[in-house]
Amino acid sequence: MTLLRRILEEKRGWVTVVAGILLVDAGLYAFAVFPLTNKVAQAEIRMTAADSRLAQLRSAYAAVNRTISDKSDSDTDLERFYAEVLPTSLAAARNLLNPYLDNLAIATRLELPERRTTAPEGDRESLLARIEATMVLAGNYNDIRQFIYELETAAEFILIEEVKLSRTGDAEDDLVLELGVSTYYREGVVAAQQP
Amino acid sequence: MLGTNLATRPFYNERAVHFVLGVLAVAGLAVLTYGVLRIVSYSLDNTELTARAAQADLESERLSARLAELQQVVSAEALESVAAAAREADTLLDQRGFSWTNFFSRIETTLPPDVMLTEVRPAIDAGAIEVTMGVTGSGLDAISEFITRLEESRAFAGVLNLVAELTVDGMYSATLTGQYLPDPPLVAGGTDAPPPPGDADLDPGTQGHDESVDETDPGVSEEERR
Repeated sequence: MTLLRRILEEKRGWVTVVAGILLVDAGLYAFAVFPLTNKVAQAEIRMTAADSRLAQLRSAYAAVNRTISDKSDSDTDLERFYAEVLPTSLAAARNLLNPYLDNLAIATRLELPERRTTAPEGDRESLLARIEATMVLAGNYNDIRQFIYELETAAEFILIEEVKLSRTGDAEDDLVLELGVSTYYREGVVAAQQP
Repeated sequence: MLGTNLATRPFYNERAVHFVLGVLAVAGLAVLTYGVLRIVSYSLDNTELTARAAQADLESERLSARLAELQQVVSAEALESVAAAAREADTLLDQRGFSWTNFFSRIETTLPPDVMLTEVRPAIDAGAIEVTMGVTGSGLDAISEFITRLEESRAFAGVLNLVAELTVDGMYSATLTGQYLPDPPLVAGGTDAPPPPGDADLDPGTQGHDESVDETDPGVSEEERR
């Protein structure tokens, strides 16, 4: 009998207790600690993925909210533009071309031998309709300049599209101005505008 | 005194054995305790992480639903429609902001005596102003000189004489096009600001005298007008 076997034989009780403790340790680590470690690691991965998805969604949500806010601001600005800057109706737009422009020509001492106005035309994609007019004005250069100045600084929304100048007769100061002007007004609501 | 060991079995150091067994038992118990503590800790961590992940999932679902609702409210078509309307409004405001008075002032300072401006047509796109001008002149040299002066004023760039033809009255008619820069860069001691209207005349026959035009009003700058 070797010494070790003799010790194990004689201290069997103590050895059994120690061996039991070590076995319980091994079982604990094998069947509880390591599986739990893996489980926690998996939970961390899942939580990280959930947090990442949540962050992406929050970012997208904030972006959509910004877009809505921007759209709302744009809508407000556009409404103000349509209501306060542009003529509000065909009648208002028509009044800009006649009598407003006619009166302005008279006020700046220009003759108005001819004025042609086109029927309103609208773009299918646009809310606005456009009326064009061509005015033939006769007078001297200074009055023509004054007319253009008054027109471009007026509150009324009239665009000067084209200017044609020609001289009439022998007098150097007798000029004819052919002025292409246009204005816009809100015609209606297109289907795409609806949310 | 006997010098011989008469025991049937040799002695061994029992204290040492007890010590080793005791150390092993204490170490085993310590490892056991540590293992139990780790199990408790991991369980708590696992519960917390699972709960947080579930909460994040719940929040994600709520946000997803809300996002879908918002995206339905603000459809891509509606956004594009507003963007198109805003672009259209900007273009109209740009056109409205074009100062014909400043433009004529620029032209007046550059127009040679034997050239007359007959037609102006600006095209404004994304802030860039392309101007097409019709002119008549006594000769092609005069029209070329006008182009040179326009570019030297730095209020115009890339001016081209697209068409030039002799008219029945012996004058040359030309169509010029170029980019108009309402606010050209200033140079030190430069004289780039447009002069008050009336310094010159588009009509060659009346250049140099202009009595009745208000010299202050039409001098409104492009920025002020906007």
